[in-house]
Amino acid sequence: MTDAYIYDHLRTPRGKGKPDGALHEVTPIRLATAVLEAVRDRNDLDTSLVDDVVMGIVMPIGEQGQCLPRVAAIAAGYAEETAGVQINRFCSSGLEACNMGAAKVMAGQADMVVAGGVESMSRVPMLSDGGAWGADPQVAFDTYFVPQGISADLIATKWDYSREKLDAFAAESHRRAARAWSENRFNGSVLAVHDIVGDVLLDRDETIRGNSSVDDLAKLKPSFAVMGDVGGFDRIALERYPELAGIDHRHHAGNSSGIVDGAAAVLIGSKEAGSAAGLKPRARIRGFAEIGSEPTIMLTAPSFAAEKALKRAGMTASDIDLYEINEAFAAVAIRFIEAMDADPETVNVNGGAIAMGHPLGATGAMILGTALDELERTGKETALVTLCVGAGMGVATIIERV
Amino acid sequence: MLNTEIDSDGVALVTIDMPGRSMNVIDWPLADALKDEIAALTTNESVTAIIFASGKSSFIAGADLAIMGDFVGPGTSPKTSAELIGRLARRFRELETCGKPVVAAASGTALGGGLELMLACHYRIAARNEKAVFGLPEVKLGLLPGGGGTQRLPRLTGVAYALPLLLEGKFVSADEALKAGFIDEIVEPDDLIAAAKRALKEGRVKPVARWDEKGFRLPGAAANSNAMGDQFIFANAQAHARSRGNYPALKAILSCVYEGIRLPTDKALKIEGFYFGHLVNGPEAQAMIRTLFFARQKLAKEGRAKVDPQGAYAGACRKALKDEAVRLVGQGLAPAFVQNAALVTGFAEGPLDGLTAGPCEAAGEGRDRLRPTGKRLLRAVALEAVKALSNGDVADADEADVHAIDGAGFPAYTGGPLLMIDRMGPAAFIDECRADGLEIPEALATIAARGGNFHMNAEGMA
Repeated sequence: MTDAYIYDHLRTPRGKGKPDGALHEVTPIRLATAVLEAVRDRNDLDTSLVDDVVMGIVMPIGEQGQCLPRVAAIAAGYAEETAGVQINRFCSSGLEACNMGAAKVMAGQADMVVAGGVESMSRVPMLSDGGAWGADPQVAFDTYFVPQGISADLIATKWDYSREKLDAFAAESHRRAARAWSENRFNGSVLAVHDIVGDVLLDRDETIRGNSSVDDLAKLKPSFAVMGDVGGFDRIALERYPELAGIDHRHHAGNSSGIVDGAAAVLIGSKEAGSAAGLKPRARIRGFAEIGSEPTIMLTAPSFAAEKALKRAGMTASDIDLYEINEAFAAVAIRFIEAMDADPETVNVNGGAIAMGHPLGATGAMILGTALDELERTGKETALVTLCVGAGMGVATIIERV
Repeated sequence: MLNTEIDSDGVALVTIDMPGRSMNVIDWPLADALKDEIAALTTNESVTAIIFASGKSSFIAGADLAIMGDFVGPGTSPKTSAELIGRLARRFRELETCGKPVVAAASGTALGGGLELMLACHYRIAARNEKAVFGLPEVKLGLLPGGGGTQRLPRLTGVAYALPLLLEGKFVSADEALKAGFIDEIVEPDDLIAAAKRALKEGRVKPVARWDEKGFRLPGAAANSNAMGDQFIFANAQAHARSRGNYPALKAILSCVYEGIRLPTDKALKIEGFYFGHLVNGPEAQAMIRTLFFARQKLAKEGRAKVDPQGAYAGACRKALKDEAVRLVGQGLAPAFVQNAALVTGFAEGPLDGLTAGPCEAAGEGRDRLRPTGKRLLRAVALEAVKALSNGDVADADEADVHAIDGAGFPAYTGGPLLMIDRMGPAAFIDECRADGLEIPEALATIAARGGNFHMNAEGMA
């Protein structure tokens, strides 16, 4: 099997995913084109060497539809031969794009790919692509569909993560992200987004509140209580988790991932392709895995995916120096840390999606890059990157510095 | 049964008037008479329009549930039942597509198949009548409106309005029906037929349903919109939570609407027929028809339908549930688990109310593990019903069933405690009780030994 290497990665800053967010006026095709151009230009890359552009987009409709990665490639002036494909595995799409790209390289069916993702959540809102799971009665009833927020609160209730514990985790995410920015840890990988007359629209993540405190977070109202009670979802969840007397709603806007806009690109290729392009590999992709899990609690699979990826790579958790777990909800990350028996000081050391946001299709590629940068900064060797995924899935990728 | 007069304008007034009944009900003879009449009026070139009216103070009170037996006789299947309901549903579609304008002129109440007939007409007039109600109550007996009701009502009112009506079997007044859009006009009773003829004469009645016209748009959210998806996400969850997944009619009705609104009328009606056939062959519909319709009707005739929730029998049933719940907790099950088992099994109240949320041991496959516990709770209450029957607290098995459901919150989909035993077979029921360590009352052992059951051998219990 051919080894797949990461040669470079970069991302846009994450802009608040609302009409007053800095990136709201930027089309998603422009975000995607911008990262494709940047990864080409700063590597002086002959794009005729790039077989494919694989990008995660979770709402591939409207202006994010129509196989955006191919259109972005031609808009960015890539070689005509460079194909493009859009993929969707919900929140892990950005990492899945990297894994699929790496798999092509490993299988010898591609030499070099640009993987990544884009999501302009302020322009193409979450859940705007419809779908059968909750809406089709034949499916919703029998599979105990509940929205993710209910699942997150179910995790918090089941493992007894108090509101204070969740809020403390959230405040720490902001503190770490603010520290990372103040120490310029993201500088090498964040591409400022400009307007068309050349002024900077956004050059750092927009939603970080470095002074976030547990006391302030305590004032926020739970987001999913009404949906759980009046909407009936708590009862449905309890049918699957009957030892619980009820579900305590402990997640809110402040301890859940932020809705943001952004894009990311990761340059992946074989050793030969890299040297043909005159590039130096930064990390080897040791292995990856995806896994399904119980879909009502939905968000507990990162540790299962991590174990599967470790096994496949012939590694154990003790071989991992650094973790990135997507902070979809505070309880998801806390559960992962507990399940892996990981040292919290090795997990999300530069903050996560609670502070910086979760642009659905791009996040996985962003945090893969964050992990690589941190390995390089600290001189460590191995990192495991993972995300929880809708409908009860998890994806994990292990990288090793070279 | 059908009296037709054709006036000089070619308007055929078809008056439904079932002999020997105070109200019109839909049965096979009426369905077959409609078939012949619609065919005759369609081909009769001198007929320009059709009015359907009633010879009674109400329009049609619903279906005669005696026909339900035909849906479950030997050799029936979901497929044959879907074909059988077509014997009625096709008539409505033939009327709707006969090419001549058709007006329903309702003197009063139209329920179930009666309302479905109105919905299949191109224009609907109700006489001003304080007592008149309109609705599709099939869900209350574990069924769905199989005569096009799940398709035509949403197409007239929009899904948001139609779903609660279909899922709760709610009745509404003519005024509300007018507001909602499924009645077009309300007139004074003595003006009813004249109003129907006026509507025809003034060209207010198109000879085609609006959903069969090109460019038809569903009122409210569009079928494929996100707003429609959201409506279903919440409607599904609420129906699931309310029914605990024990009443397949709710899911079937939701699916009829969810799938039907995306389809042309004929395909949509076909889907409805399939779901109906599937549903009517299920154990829940059969048990509910048996107890909630036939047994309740019998008790009502005999003045025994009313139940005192605080009475001896209802109290004993609730106590049996609570005692068994406490016993299960004593045997090591978590109180929350037992409580959830009772609720998921469909008891109206949990036996261990007042619990608060908290951490617990890891759960496995929740509902699969809840089922055995829930069934044990059902058996414990059923044994109490057996005792009540043998000591005379209830007069017969029907009373035991109806009063347990109405007075003690026993799950309706079972058809009541004694019907539940009968459907399982008393001998098999005893085996399950013994496995639970439940004590077998002598009366139950006797009936099982005789190979009998409670509903056939009620007199033997004295």
